[in-house]
Amino acid sequence: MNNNKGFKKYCPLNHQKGLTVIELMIALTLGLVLVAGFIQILLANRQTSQVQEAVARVQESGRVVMEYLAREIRAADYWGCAKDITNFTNHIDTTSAGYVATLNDYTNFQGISGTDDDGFNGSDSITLTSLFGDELPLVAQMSTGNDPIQVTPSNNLLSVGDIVFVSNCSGGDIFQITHGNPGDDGFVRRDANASPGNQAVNCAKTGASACAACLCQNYGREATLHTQLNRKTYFITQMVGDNEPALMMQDLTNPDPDTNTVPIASGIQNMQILYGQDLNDDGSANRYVDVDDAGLDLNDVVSVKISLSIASPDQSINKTYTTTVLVRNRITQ
Amino acid sequence: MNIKYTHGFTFLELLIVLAIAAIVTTVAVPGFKTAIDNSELTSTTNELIGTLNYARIEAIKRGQPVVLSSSSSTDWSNKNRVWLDNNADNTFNSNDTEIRIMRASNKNILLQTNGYDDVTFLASGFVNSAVTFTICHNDTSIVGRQISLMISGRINVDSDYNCAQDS
Repeated sequence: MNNNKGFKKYCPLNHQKGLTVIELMIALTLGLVLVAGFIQILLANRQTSQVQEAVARVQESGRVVMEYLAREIRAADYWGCAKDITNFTNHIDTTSAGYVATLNDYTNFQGISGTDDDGFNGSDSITLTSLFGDELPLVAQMSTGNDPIQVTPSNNLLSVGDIVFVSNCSGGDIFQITHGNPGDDGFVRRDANASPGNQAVNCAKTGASACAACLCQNYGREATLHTQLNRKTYFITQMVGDNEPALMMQDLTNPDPDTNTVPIASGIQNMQILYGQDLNDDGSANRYVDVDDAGLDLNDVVSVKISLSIASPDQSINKTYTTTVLVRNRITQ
Repeated sequence: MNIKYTHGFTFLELLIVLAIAAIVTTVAVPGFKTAIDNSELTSTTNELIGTLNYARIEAIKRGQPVVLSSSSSTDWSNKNRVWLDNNADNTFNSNDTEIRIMRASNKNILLQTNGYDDVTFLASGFVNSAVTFTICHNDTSIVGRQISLMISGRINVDSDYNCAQDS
């Protein structure tokens, strides 16, 4: 009780000071308005940065995909000085168990081909073929068709089993290296004893028959040996896992389905391709049509128009990019 | 204060408290374990994404190829390095410049690729091969992560990867 008396003495109830409820409520309301303002700014900033991020992603996808496709289309249909794959003679043995038409039927591969509206979301696909990779000059003249081809020794590029493309300006031959040590001594040898191996065929240009080990021309220093074929299909599909649509690249020279298809960039919702047909051989396109157009001869295609529809992962930003690419190897004379 | 007024817990009360504590812990600890496992996965994932982006940016900035390679074949769980292939021989040796180390992941985490032990970022920001990384816990029932490095050098993360399908 003594304590109580002391408390009352120093802090009597009727003299207490503090905030009234009204004051408190006003303060709370003001605080609330202030906090609401801050949250507003925070949310707006977050949204802006999300939009910027989405725009950046879409633009980067658009840039890299266009850059990649344009470079591949420009390089398509390159066959060295022989100009066209039909000027080559394919010596690969069609009767061998190791012969696969989709891999080895080289002379029927078109530089540019495609499909229309059969992919994801009605997307088109395009297949580009050309010689690729290292180009080895010949260092000696062959005297007969079954001489070994001689290229730079110690090239470390050639090995037995490789299928190579030798050509000069009047034509070319496609064959498999079957024995020897070409990466070391530079002597490229061929016979029938390998898989798929080489067979006797009729030469593309002359119609004359060539033995399994023979080539259609006696190549010399004017000729070059290409070691690789670049044959790829570009199409749109959904990626495994998150189902994000992506531009995929399928390497048709690799028969293993587990490893031959890789994504280039994601967020590509649709790809439409038009082919520029040159009707009067002046090197410029007269009309752009779908690949399944009845009047289109794919050999007359001199340019390709690609349209890509690209969306950000949250679908909030959607942009369409269009570009037209010249097939350089078809217009140089 | 006299000692006979002191109150305390009876032995029975103590036992009850211990029993309840034991029950609560049994329920809570497995929950924590999942959280810990997940954060281990996330941390390795983030470290890898950071390293991939770093290598890409370095390649673009320097205008020359930058290689990211594992030190133990296709198992990337150990130390990985980012380096410049100065003598262009595709193997890391004393002539090459090491620019960053990605430290080994937690021992419970397995970081693997689809057959690649290195990847090269080109000056254009593109990569020479599209590598898929999978990040899994030793306990394969835990949902893992899959990181697809696309040809464009861009990264796609799938955070719902079924690790059990590999084993």
